Amino acid sequence: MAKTKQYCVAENWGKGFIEHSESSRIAFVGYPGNVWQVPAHNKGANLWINKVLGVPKTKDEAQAIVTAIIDTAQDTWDADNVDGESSAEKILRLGSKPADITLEE
Amino acid sequence: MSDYKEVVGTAVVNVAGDPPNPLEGQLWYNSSTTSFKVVKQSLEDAWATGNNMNTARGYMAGAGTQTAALASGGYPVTAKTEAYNGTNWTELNDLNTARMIPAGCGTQTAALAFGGGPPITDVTETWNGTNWTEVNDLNTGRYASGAAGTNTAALAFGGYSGSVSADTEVWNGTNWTEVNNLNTGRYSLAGCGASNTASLAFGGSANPKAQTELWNGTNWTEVNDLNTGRSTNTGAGTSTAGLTFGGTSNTTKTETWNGTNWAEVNDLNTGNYGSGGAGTNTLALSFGGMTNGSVTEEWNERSVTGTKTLTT
Repeated sequence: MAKTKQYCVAENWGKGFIEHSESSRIAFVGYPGNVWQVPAHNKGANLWINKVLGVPKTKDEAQAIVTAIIDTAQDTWDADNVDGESSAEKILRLGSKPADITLEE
Repeated sequence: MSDYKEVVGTAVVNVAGDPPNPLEGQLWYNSSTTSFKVVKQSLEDAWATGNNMNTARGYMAGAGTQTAALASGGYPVTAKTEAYNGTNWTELNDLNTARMIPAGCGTQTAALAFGGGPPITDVTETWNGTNWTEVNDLNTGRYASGAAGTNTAALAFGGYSGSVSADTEVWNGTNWTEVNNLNTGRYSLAGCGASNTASLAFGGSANPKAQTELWNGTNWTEVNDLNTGRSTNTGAGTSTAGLTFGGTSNTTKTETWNGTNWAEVNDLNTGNYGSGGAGTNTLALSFGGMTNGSVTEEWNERSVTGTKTLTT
């Protein structure tokens, strides 16, 4: 099956990184680790990757970057405990444990 | 079928190319491209990136507008305050009490922050554009509540106070007063509203909720639900023109409220939850968040007039 998404790593420098005109035409999804998902076979998306000097990644490479960051966040969450605190109270204090993120093909 | 000339009174103009300054609604036949064209107005809405916050964080209090916003507190637990001027974030004086998940409302020069934790607090602080000052406490300490209004006329609703809360309190600039409860108790919900007499509460936990309630100054009334139930979502705007974005689990989904219904619009560029929010439902700001802690995004909804080619 032909891939419908492509991935790159690009540092979000803020203003101008994604313009309104780009966001209204391209489906962006930003993930931890400066991983960006945009449509494959899309001229606008390709132009944007060039603009931000994005480094193309395969889906597996992008997944590894995101997973490493989520794993660290989950370990930090697991280690942050207060004596006598219930699991429900911990979720209220820290929010839910960071969830695994699975990238699309 | 009606004839264009019968309806409009004139025939469709035949132009070799396009007329120089067509008006909205004007229809013509372009003989060069052999196509009918019309000038049509459409809505263009999208999120764009803004410059990052100085201190990455989620679960903070937000206030202000897209070009004059205020962020205070947050997780990891902090007292830090930052202001956004439409381009950059600048650090300002800290809250007196560091906390996460406080609620906030008002403007960049006259804001209110209340509640939060840990431990659960009832502390309220007012911001005059330069400093935070402690004022009278909430009657019920809580965190992850909703907020709406100004720093002289605010509303606190829901949250977690040791148990899931439906409590609502009104701030008159001096004191908090308990008033009628939400119909559905919840925490990690979002709110919006210009005053403490016209506000909206939506989303929240436990279990991601889609319920929306409207406050008329006396009672909460259930109105139409969000399309996507969620908690730790963020709100902006008023009770008749609201916006919500993000939330569990790292959703990019954005919905706009027209006073009656929620409608899905273009998504955030970065999935997030627990971000701060400011602005209106046409010019909003999302900042920080628990997944991508320093990211800023600017929401613009504007009317665009352009030439469209009619197809059959």
